[in-house]
Amino acid sequence: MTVSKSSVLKLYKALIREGSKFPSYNYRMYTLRRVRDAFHENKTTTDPSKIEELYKEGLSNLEIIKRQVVVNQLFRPEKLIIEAEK
Amino acid sequence: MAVAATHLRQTLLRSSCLFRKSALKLAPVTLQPCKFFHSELLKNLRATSCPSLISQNSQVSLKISQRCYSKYDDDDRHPIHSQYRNTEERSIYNVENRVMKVLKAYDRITADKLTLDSHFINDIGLDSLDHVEVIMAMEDEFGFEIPDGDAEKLLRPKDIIQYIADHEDIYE
Repeated sequence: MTVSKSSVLKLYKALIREGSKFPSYNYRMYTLRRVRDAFHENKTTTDPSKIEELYKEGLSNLEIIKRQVVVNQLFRPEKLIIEAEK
Repeated sequence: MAVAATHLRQTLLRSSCLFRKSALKLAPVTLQPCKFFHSELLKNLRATSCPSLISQNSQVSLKISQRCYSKYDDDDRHPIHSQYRNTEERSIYNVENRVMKVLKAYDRITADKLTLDSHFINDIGLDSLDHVEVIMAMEDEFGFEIPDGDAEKLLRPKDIIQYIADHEDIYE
């Protein structure tokens, strides 16, 4: 199975969408930064099996993020002082 | 539909009020500017309809109804006109300003390279991941989702503006 470009972009979008739902500023910013860095780090990867492996890793991380967002919403932290302006 | 009906009713009511008010004021005024027009009209009317109905009054009422319309055109509180005013806020220039504001706020885009026609990937030097983020920023700004199939065609700011304008039913 080869992973198409559009499905990689779809995963990227889903990860960012889901990651920006974290109520905690620290979790949210870490997730967004980590997702961006990971995708940019591997953007020159051409080996299909490597891409597939990374894609699967992304999918499992998406599930983790989804779960952690729910947990984080249950224990909603107070807003940090740097967020207060929004 | 019901709203439109009440608007129409209000409009009719108000125009009839105006008509009555100005009829009283204008009755003694002579009709110099349109005299020719009225005499022509009167001739035609005389030729076609019952002569007893055609009197000085019919001239006055014709003149007055014209007045009423012209008075209406610059009435600020006219419901239909105020509706038009509201739509001006959602003009295509407004969409353009919002799109460009979002693009300038995005840190990978340098403002001096950015024009309406610049290609995100070829001219500005974004990659496809950045392009996804640009599209997501547009989704957040305008509050609707852009499907992936459409998103990959929106490669220039003007394409995005046109797409959003089409979606929001805004035309030039």
